Amino acid sequence: MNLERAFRLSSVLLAASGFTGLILTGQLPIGLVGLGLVSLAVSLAHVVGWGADWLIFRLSREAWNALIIAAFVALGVDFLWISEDLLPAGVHFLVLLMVNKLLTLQERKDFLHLYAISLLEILSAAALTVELWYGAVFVAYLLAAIWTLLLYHLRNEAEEAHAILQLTGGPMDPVRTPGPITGRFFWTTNGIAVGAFCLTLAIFFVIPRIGAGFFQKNRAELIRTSGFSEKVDLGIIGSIKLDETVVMRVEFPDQKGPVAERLYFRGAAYDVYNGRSWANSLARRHVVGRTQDGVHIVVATEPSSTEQTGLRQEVLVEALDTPALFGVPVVDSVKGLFFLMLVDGMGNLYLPYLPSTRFQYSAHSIPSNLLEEERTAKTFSYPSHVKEHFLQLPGLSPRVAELARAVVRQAQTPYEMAIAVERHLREDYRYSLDVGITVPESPVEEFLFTRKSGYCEHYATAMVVMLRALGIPTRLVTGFLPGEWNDFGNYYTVRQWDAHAWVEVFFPRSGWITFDPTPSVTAAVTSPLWSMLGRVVDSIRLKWDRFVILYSFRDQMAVAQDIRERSDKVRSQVSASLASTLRWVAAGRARVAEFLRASD
Amino acid sequence: MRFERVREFFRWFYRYRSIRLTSEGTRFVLLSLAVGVAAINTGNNLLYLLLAMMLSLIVMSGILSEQCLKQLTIRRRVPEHIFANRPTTAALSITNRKPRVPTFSLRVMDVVAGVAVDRGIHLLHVPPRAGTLQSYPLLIARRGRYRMEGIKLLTRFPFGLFIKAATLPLGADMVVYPELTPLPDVLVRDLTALGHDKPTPRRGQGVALYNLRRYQPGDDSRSIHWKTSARQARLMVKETEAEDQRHVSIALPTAVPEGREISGAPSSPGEHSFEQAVGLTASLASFFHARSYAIRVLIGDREIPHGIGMTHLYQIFRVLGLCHPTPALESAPMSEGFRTLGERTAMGELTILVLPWADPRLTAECRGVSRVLRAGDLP
Repeated sequence: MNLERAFRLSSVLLAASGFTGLILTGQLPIGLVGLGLVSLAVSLAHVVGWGADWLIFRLSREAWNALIIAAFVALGVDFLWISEDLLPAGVHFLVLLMVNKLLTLQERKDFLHLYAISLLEILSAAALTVELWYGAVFVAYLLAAIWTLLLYHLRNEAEEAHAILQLTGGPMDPVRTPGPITGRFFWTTNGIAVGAFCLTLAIFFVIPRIGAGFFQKNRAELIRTSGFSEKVDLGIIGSIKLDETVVMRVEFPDQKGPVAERLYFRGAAYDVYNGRSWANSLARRHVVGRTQDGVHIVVATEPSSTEQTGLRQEVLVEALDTPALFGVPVVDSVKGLFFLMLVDGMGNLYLPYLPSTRFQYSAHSIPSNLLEEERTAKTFSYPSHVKEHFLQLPGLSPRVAELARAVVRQAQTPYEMAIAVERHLREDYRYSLDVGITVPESPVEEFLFTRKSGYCEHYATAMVVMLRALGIPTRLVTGFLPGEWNDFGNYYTVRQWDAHAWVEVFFPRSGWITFDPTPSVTAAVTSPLWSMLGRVVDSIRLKWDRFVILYSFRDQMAVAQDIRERSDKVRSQVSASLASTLRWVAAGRARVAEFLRASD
Repeated sequence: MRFERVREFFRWFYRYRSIRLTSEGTRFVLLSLAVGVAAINTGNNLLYLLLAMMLSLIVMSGILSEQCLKQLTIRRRVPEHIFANRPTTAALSITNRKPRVPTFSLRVMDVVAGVAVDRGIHLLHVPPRAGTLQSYPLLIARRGRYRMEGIKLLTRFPFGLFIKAATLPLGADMVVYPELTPLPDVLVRDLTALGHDKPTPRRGQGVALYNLRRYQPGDDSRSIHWKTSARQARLMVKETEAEDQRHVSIALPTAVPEGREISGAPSSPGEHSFEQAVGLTASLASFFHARSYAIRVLIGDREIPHGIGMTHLYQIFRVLGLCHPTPALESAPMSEGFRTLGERTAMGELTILVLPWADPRLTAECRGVSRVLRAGDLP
């Protein structure tokens, strides 16, 4: 391929990569997408010589200029009445400009304009999305940009060299005339692109993140969740149990593989049940304390004990429609890029605002273990406020209490009663999402005595009312199960269908202990290959989010700290080895001197 | 003091490497700044990513352009004899010594008096371990010393955003001979006639010693100079001047007469007259050389005795190329050569006095010369 054709081809491909970025944001109307694609195809056909010349340059310059003016007027109309926002209107205008330039590529300045338009396109795409595909488009854009700028430069140089030759009448020396694109040139240029990409990454991670996001405008749609508001209707979780949307990803940096014990990511807890819905009567929130390091302290603990027995979680939450924060109970501290964190009377954690984008935080939990003496204690004296809030029952039929007493008739202690109820529900009831369309008068009685099938909310509610009927303080908790373990990225992918409800039983000294009466459900079988690919893509997406989208000043400081610590370690190792070498030399000298003295 | 040192360092540094933005580069940098401002204002990491890409292109430009200019060997070939206002050809040999990396988009310029002079050498591609010889026309307007201080290499590779330049200290000193112009027909006829009315000795082997050189096959054995051969232990032959050789002495005074000022500016009238006289002297020398005259020249205080051959002629041109007017002192005696110019001449020798300007004292002193020429008076 000769230089001129390669140059034109790379120019069109550069425009195509910028336009692809815009298409994938989903912000372009289908008409503009079609128009842009057609003009790209025509321009490409013209470049590779597939005979699309009849479509190019048909209109005069004046006609094209008139079309540009029309497009500018359309921009105003779009901004004022259609999009009512400058960015989408500007993006539409950019596409029209690109179409114009693609069909009138003649002079050097036309190519420069096309490059500027493609750069604005990729910039606009950056402002409109945070998705993983942007990474692929960016790499394609970088490759095309390197090729285009290089060929543009060589083409200009060749033109100037040709002009000089014509002026001086010099010989057509091979070093003064452009040759074809050779294999060596091809690989050299791609090598330059790889070098530029590596340099880009290095600069990206080093540029200080001094931006405060003053003018950041969020355009992402929030994911609708259920079960984390102050009042939750029974059965609401069932509607999302088939939704595979990812809601968060959780890493356990101190664990090498999946966590052995069953995990629960607690979101909200409820105390008041009115027979049809759950509510939180202790919803009054207050701000938790924050240390100078930005750590929000929920429960004051001894640092040494928590470091040893605690569980650290790195949570990356998608843009959800709830300010609730999730963590393995009992969360004692949270660290994140937010200045305030709230907690209510149920121990539920919240952000003070609804997060409009995905965000990440680090949570630290201490396990809630039941003390041995409480496991065997036959009765407890509960505080009055516990009895007031966590023994409440709606007007249920006496059958519920009778069933509860029947189930626990052999149990001696509150703990054994809880275990008996949990086992009863797990073993004698069937898990099913098919609970009918009509909402019964008392869903829990319907579940316990009639249908005998349901899902987590029914199980958990049934256990709560049965234990409360037995005088044991209990509450319903909603949150998520860990979901799928991703062995490529070493994290859990939590989806909507992992939403779950369970029970917390109060023990005066041990606190709230988790019980889960819902039987395990066998996951749907998917193709291993497909599942593996899904996990790979998801792990890449997590890294993209963590290291690109959410890369922050805090991360930069952490990296700097890490480098400092490592260098300190290396320095101390080097000085230690030097000292030992010197000691060894000194000892050797002493021995030699001793030997010489002895031989004398 | 320290600041001076820093400034000196940068001056030294930039003498060898300099970088400046092209018009495209200026736009690119401004666009990068705009993206940077947008990234800071929005805190959008994807904008930071694009900013990093643009900065990486700038850094890559610096790295790759440096690679282009590295390990290049340049040699300049200039002709031995250069005349003012006569086009000649110089050549630059450019070799890329890099084992793997080619050099792209290279412009090569001469540095003359601190200024880069574009010779139109524009190389698109010099492969690794390869070289090229590029010749270019060279036209120097004035006689005298001409110094090329170095070579300036420029490249806009890889993206045309910056022009990176490197200056190599590759000096070349030349003496530019005076411009040779055809003599007017009137003068040619006059000089030819002047030559012919002089008596010419018989033809044959002369006796005046001209030169001693090594014996070469074919030489007449009678011309062997035995004494020298015995002294040097190798055969030496003597060369004698041909007796039929015509002789000419050309004198060019360089002393500026009293009351006349030479400003030193090439366009000043006095300087112009002097240059005309120098050119005329050189042209006369060339004229007589073509007619096999033994030529002797007097240029100011400098005298080049009679001689023949191209070497002798170029010696005359060289002295003419470097001569310049000198202020004359009123009391200073006239040089021996000029005083005896009209008197002490060989048989049939022509004597020509070339005057840059009217000099009655000299004209009176050299009354016996064959011809007195004033450059400005010639048609």
